[in-house]
Amino acid sequence: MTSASTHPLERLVRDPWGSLRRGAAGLLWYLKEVMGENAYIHYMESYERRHGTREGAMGEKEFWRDLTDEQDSNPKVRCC
Amino acid sequence: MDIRCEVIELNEEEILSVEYVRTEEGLPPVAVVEKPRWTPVKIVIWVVIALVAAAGWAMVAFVRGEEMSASWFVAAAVGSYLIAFRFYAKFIEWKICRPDPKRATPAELNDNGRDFAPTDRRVLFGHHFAAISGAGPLVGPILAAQMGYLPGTLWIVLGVIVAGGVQDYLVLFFSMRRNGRSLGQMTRDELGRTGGIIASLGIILIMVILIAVLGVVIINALAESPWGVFSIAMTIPIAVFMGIYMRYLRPGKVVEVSVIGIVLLILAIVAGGWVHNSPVWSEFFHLDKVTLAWCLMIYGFLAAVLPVWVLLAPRDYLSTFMKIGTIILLAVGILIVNPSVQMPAVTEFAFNSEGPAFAGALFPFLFITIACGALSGFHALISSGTTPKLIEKESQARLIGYGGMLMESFVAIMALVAAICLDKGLYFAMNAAEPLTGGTAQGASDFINNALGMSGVATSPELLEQAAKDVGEESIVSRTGGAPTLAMGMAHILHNIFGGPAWMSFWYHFAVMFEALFILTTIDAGTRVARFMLSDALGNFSKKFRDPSWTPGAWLTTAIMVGAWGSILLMGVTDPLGGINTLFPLFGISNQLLAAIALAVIFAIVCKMGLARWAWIPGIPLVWDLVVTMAASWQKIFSSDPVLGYWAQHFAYKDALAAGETSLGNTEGIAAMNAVVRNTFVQGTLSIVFALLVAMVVIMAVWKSIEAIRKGSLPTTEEPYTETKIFAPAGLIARKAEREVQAQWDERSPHR
Repeated sequence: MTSASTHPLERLVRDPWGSLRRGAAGLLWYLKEVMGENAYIHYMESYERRHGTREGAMGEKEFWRDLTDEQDSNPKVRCC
Repeated sequence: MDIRCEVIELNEEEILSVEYVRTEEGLPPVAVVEKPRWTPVKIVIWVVIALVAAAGWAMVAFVRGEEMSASWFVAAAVGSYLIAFRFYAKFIEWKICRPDPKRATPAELNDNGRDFAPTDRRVLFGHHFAAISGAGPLVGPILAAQMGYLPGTLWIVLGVIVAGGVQDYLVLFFSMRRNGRSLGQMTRDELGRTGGIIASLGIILIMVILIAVLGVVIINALAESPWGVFSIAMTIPIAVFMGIYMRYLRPGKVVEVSVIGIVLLILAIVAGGWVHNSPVWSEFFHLDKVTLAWCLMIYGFLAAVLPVWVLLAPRDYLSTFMKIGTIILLAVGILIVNPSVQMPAVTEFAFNSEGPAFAGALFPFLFITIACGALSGFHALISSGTTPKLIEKESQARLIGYGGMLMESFVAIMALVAAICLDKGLYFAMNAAEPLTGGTAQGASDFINNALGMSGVATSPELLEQAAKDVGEESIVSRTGGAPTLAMGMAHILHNIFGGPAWMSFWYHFAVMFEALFILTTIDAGTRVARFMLSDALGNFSKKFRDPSWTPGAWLTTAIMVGAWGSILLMGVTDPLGGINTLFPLFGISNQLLAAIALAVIFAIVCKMGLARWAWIPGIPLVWDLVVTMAASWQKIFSSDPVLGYWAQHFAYKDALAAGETSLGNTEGIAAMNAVVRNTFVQGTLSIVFALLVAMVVIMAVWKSIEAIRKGSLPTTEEPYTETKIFAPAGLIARKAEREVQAQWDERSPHR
């Protein structure tokens, strides 16, 4: 875990390779988030927030099916 | 529970005063409010940014006659964006929005893990940017380059700061305060039922025009190009394969399937080269504009009625991936290659209305041609409805709304740079309509050398033929619409870094491919959205249309929408006058008129909130936008110059036909003349309808605003205040105190 008290620049100077690794991991995380790969993880988190448990939530495969099927009637606008 | 304890701790060691905001005892703070204090380091940083911007502008605006490099444009633009984001957007935040750190957003209140879900601000920035930016900012600036680089650069940068960013930010903020309601619903709530109906009608009509014109752009790039047609056609099986992969083989592996898709896409581009060289296959994929228009309509229909997972969802993944990739590629290309600018700062076409790429003088048509990148009404449809349901904290709206628009503006600047660094002769040969060039290298060369009406531009048939050969096309003459020019510009820049001259054709088709991908994404999503808007409207008359699973209704509404944009598309691609130069103004006008609706609604809300003092913030862009769009509509409707006015042209051709003539200007034959009469009638009628619809909405908004100013304020339809129970950083970069608070929250819930 990254410690919240040290400044990112300070960490870069102390441990450049670690920073590089964290940077690459961060980029991959960002790509996955923006592309929507983590949608299921977020759904589970949200389910737990709402119900206090993960029991009764959709399975992964079911969730992805439901996600696109729901878009059938709720399309999102894409701009020019 | 009514615990509202606000603990204020002043941290002595910090330079800033820090206020920790709590809404519930026992929970860590929900926000950290810092009062920024100017430190010497900060002052130095902002002075440097201002100097960089000033140096960029000085070079762009005043240096003449010497080789100027493209990076000055980047300096001027990025420096200005940073200053605008830090100062003007912050000013709007203080005076109008006043985000409340204790107030819960719709994402938190209605969290369903789907369309309402608290989303990391950086991720949401990416989502929002991917949704607002497409082919628009890549096309407009290219066409506007005919007036020189200075007018376009000034409008893109100043426009986004004063108009586009303001619209996107305020629509996003107000929609967020209204549970993420759409622009149409907000208009109905704030201006009344009639206003809402008129606005919704306007939105549907405007979408139809947008889709049709984007279709013309892509068909102009693909017609008679076997390479392009093959690689774009291949995106359909690739998308279907990705859809099956995601649904049955490996659900949820979005990045994996996108990477596979991109690899297949690149293979398709390479294979396009083989198709181009094979006499049999190149004949097979050699399609004319009318055939392509029909293909596009069939595709649009299928995409709107098929389940989303088959085509739409995978194509959207591909499109997002390509968007991120190519924009980074273009930015890196411009910064590394640093090409020098060929186009003059201001050309003759800024002062007359004889430019070959689009007709009309600088005012108002520059501001119409460059819509996306400076001010785009379409964004109001995403800033309301989609994005506001995902924001974690009210204070993040500035980053996502205003910041996202700045990013799109930067894309527009890069597109402009790609166009102005091309050889002038090549630029005009590609952008002059076919009636002017005759569609041949000899004809284009004659036109440019003798009849262009701009000094200092020369070319030769050999040069144009070589340019076409370099990019693997039979001809690049009259490849109007902006997309091929951008592709040419990108090929010229990128081959210097990757692959050398042999790769120019690859980069050209790569660029055509991603533009086509963006446009197809807009077309299929747009058709689907428009279909639902129509069934909603028809649902008022027959309840059955409200049911999305009722197949006849879905097919009927889709067919109506496709028929609507398809007929305009066919009209555009068969237009004897060139299509894009007559239709593109209609695209810009309709997009800017949508902005007028959005800005008028914002203006009324600001007045109703009792903030009339600050109503000039949306007021300035509203007035400017109205002046521009109404002046343009006026000219398009009433101008007696047939090059400009739809009706003047309509009657000129009608009279000529009545007099028994068989040709007029460059139009030969009675059939072509009849087509002009018909097309100008449609275009002229649409211009009138749009202008009237928007004028009505604006009048209603002004009426409400006056009433509000008289009474001091009026009740708005903001949702009631609810306290937040979650934490998120206020801006892009989490500050030290925010990181500490985040750590406290992380300890409480191990899943974050």
